[in-house]
This record gives sequence, C-alpha cells and structure tokens, in this order.
Amino acid sequence: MTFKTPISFDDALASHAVKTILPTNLGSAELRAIDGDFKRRTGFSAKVMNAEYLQTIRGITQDALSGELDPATARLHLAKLAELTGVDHDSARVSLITETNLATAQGYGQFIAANDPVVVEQFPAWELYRVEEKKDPRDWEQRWQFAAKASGDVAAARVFEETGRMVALKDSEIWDALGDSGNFDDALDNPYPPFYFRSGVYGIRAVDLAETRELGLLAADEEPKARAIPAFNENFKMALPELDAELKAALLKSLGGDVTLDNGVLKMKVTGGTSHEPLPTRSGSENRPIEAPPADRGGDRRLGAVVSQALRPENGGVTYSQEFAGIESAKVVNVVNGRRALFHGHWGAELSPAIAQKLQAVLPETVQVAVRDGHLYVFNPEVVTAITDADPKFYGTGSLLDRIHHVTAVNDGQNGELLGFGARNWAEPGSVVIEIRATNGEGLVFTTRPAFADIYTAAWKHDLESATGWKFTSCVLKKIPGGAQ
Amino acid sequence: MSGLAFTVQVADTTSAQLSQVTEAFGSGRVNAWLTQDLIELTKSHLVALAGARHRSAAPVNFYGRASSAVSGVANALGITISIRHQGLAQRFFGGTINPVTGKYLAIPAREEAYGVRPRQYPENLVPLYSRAQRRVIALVQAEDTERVITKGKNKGQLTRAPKDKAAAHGLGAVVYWLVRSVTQQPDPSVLPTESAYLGALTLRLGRLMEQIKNV
Repeated sequence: MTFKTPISFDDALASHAVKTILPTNLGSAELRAIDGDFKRRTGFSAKVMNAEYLQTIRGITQDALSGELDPATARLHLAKLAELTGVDHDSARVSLITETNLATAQGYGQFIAANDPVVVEQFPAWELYRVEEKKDPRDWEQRWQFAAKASGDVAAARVFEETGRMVALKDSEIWDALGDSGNFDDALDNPYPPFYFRSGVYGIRAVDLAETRELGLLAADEEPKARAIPAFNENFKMALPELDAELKAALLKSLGGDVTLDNGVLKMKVTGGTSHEPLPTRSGSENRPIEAPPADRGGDRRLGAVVSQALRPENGGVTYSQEFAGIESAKVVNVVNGRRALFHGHWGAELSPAIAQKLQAVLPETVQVAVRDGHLYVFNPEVVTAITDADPKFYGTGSLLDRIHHVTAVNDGQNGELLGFGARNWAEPGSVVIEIRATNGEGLVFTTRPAFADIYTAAWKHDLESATGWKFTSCVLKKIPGGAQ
Repeated sequence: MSGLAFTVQVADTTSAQLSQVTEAFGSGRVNAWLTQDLIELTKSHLVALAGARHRSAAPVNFYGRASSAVSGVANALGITISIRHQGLAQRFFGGTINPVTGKYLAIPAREEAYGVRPRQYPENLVPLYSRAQRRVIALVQAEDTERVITKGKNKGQLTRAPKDKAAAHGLGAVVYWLVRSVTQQPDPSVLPTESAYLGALTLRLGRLMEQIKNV
C-alpha cells in the first residue's frame, strides 16, 4: 500500500478523482442531475425571500402613504431595509439558507454513498454522534427516543437504552422520523444530516457488519438492506410568506411549474431519486456467474447506453449488434470514470473520425477523443499520464497521444497496460489469456500475468457488469509458454 | 486552497490477504469497503482534533465541520480521500497568508472575536496607532472592557475603560491585532498518520478474512 502526498482540493478537483462538492461515488451524469436540483432549490429559496423583501418595502411605502409613518421614519426604515438586504442583517439569513442548502446537498451525497448496496453489505448501520457543542444544544437523546417510538424501531430504542448510543440500521425509518417536520418544528424533512436548521455539527458514523450484529440490530442469518433514495428535492418545502395578492401571483408565476401550493406551503416538484437493484451475491468461484447485476454505480449504465447509441450502425457507428455496442461502450465508460486509461478502436481513416465526432458529442471533457492513422483513441489524460510517466523509456516522452500511438500502432500490441490488462504485450511469455463473457455471448479477451489474473478478472467483470447490467463468467483460455514460472 | 485530497494505492499484489479477499468478494467491493474505512478514520481523527483544539467561544468549529466534509472514491488510481474544507490545506501545508482585500489581516485577540470579522463585531472598535511602527497595529474596544495595567504604580491591576474614552488614551482592550501577513508552519497532524490508515485497512482485511472462513 502506498500513500500519495496530499494535494490541495483545488488540484484534486481538476482531476477526475474528485468531481464536485458532493462527497459521493456518483458519476458525472448523476452529479449533474443533483447539481441541477441544487440550483433549482437555491433559486426557489431566493425567489421566495425576494418576495418577502418586496412585501416589506411595499408595506413601508403604504404606511407612509397612509400617514401611519412619517416620511422621515419611512425613509429610515427603507434605508435600514436596504442595508439589511444589501449586506449585513440579511446576510445572516441568506447565509443560513445557503449554508443549510449546501449542507443538505453534502448530506444527500453522503446519504447516497452510504446506501450504496455494496457499502451496506459491510456497513449496514449508522450512528449519530455530536461533534460540536452549541450554547443551547438540542436534546438529541430525547429526539432519538421519540423518533425510535414514532418509527417503531424497537431495536434502536433498545440499543440506546442499553448503551446510550444512537445506532440504527441504515434502512430504518428512524432516520425519516428524526428529520420529520411533523415530529419536530425545526426539522428539514431529510432522512440524513442536517436534520434541523442550525443543528450544529452532528456526525454520522458508519457502523460495520460485525458491530451491528454485536449490537443485535441484525441477526446472524439476516442480510443487510439498502434503502431507496428519495429525490434531492422530494421533501423540500417553504412556507408561503404573507404577501399581497399581486406579489403572490407574481411569485407563483416566477416559480412557474416548479412548485405546488398546498395549504400555504410551497413544495418543489421532484425529479430523480433512485431505487436500488437486487444485491449481487458473492461470486465465490471465478467461473460461477454472478447471480444478479450490481446497481448502476456512478451512472455507468446510463452513460453506457448513450455511448452505445453513438456506436450503433444505424447512427453511423461500427458495432454490428446491440450486445457488441454494450461491451464497447462499457470500455469507454471505464475510461470516463477513471478505471481504465484507454479505449482503442482501429476502424480506418474514414470511419474513425466519424465515430470520434459522435463520441466527442456525448463524452465529458475530462476524457479526450483522438484519431491518428485510422486508430481511434478515447483516453483519460490523468490516468495515461500516471502510467506512462512511470516508464518513459517504454512509452516515450512525447504528447500523450504520441505515447499511446507509439505502443498501440508503432510497436503493435504493447498497449495492454493502458487498456487496463495485466500485461503490456498481448503475447507476453508466461502470461495467461482470460475470457470474460456474458450469457448473451458478448465479452472480451485479455492477456495478463498469472499473479494479477484474479484481480484483473474480478475488476473487469465488476466494471462490465456495472456498465451493462449483464451477468458475466470468466475462464482461462490459454497460457502463453515461456517466462518466469 | 479550499481543502485536501490524497490517494491511497491498495493494489498490493504481494499481499496474500488482499488477494484472498479480492478473489472472494471482488475488487470493486473490497475497494468500496476500504474506502469507507479510510473515510471513517479521517472523520474520527478530525472529530478528535475538534475536541482538542476547538476554542469554546469560537462560533465555528473548524475541525468539526471538516469532519462533515470527508468523502472518498475508489478508482483506477487507488482510493482518493478528499476533505473539502476551506483552510485545511493551509494548515497541512503551512505558508504565508497575505490580505486580499485590505492592508492588514485581523488576528483575534479575545475569545469573542474568533470567527467574527471586525466589521461584524458588535461593539465599536477604534484603531490603535503605534508611533514606533508608524502604523495602526490593533483594533481596540474602547468602551466597557477590562485590561491589565502594564506599567506604573498600578501595574498588574485590572482597569475598566470608561465610556467615551478613546483607545489612544491607553484604555480598553485589544480585540484584533492587525498584521501585514501571517506565516504558518506545516501541520501534518491534521490528517491521521500513514500507519493509522494502514491499521484501518489491515483491520478490515482481517474482518473480511474471518467472513470468508465462516462461510
């Protein structure tokens, strides 16, 4: 195990490894979706607040006109309001809303990542604990007990009684009850932190499988379960401020079809949300098929479908079947999400540029698409740099495209490392040739060193399953003679 | 700099344990679980720092909030842990901070000034001029604050500044020191040590080995 020296987040942000403020394993497509929801939410908050300010200005003006306020006092009020809305006072309220929205977005990201079915297998519970003491702390213990009762989580209540710890399974409804504004006036209706306005820093710790079983939250023969993820704005609402009819109409018009008004409460219409697919079982043997595909981690499958469309013959692509398009697009997706350095196709001087153009239109800017001498390359610059910089004698020191082309076309078949195989050379003496195939007949063949065969096979199967949703099996096709035994 | 990120490469093919658990569970799963362990270790380290270093009067719990900003992702390069929290990279790497908008940095001299900008400070502040340095060196709350007398026959005694007395009269307490720049030393202790991370990973691999044996 090796540690790379920490770098500043800004530098990391520029890389593929860290994508946004949202601390998740989500892919770019899902992050974009949440980003859009986050913007919708902040825009919604801002419009409602602006309407409140307008209402205040209107009230002051009318009071002045009606003689209830003398002009000097009215001017003073308006000047004060301008000051408030400009910088100082309302920066406190704006800050609160902004910070809360931001913290909620971060919490949502952590909530999704924590409820990834794979993570839940080994970390099925959450523990709530205080990080920051406030002057007037909420009575979290009391709230916890109330939420346990309201949600019917007897096990969580028992654990609290016996240990004083606030631990519950991730799929427990106690989390919903804890953040339910029907239970607590200051709740934000999130089943994840922050549960309340100005709730201070309250941490969530993942509790692992062994500890969860020790606490008696999960029986020995009981499998952990992931919960469905609500859409980011599913429970977000704001009370409609007291407004004149005209302002109210203007506000509702400006919010367009984005909200519903129900008993004086504005609610956002929701998009997105996920429900997890069935959990895959442990593969056990490398030759045993995985019984169910893993969930669409990081939105791989969605991106895969888009790339796959671009590669279909009816769209001017090169693939001859939907299945083949699925495998090829999965390889491209692996480059996008940083798990592989390179995708390569040798489709000639006419077709490769056309395909490149299609891929460029659908792929994010974090990957590069290039054509040289009829070879099409989709590569992840950061991963290519990391690999090729480690051995400049082998890869050369030219541009990234020079290096890739050098080992792919000039020295034919030396690009295995960039393609994500365990051997650089397709015919490396002593290596093994592995076949990974889906039940529909499509798959890939690669060469790897025997010591890496298990890891690379498992990684490829996982990534192909992730991007296609198909089941895969693997076997060793042949061993290439020679090399160190 | 608004945060920190680092990558841990766990693809150690010489580790028999890692090979076994990867074979049994799949590398994607194992990486996802190890990522969770690294996140939890980083969070608990920052929470411990929050307890040890946080000033009770400061309105913002720097390390406590940093603990809420820890995230991780497994990819081809390894496991990347990131903590997006303004100021954490400055503490880790150290370096000189210069004012961006004004001439001086305001360094809190009293507990109630932590986390509060001078213009947001609830009391009136007046500049304290140093003849020796020929510049303003501090912002002083002239009214209704106590300070220790540093010379004369009443040296060592507490005195309270009466209303309407300017700081220039030597009364009132310094709320902010004004400096042209601040240089901080690197503080690697804001992150857990490499051996702590290694310990967390080893523990997880051990637990996964137990699960394999129990199947």
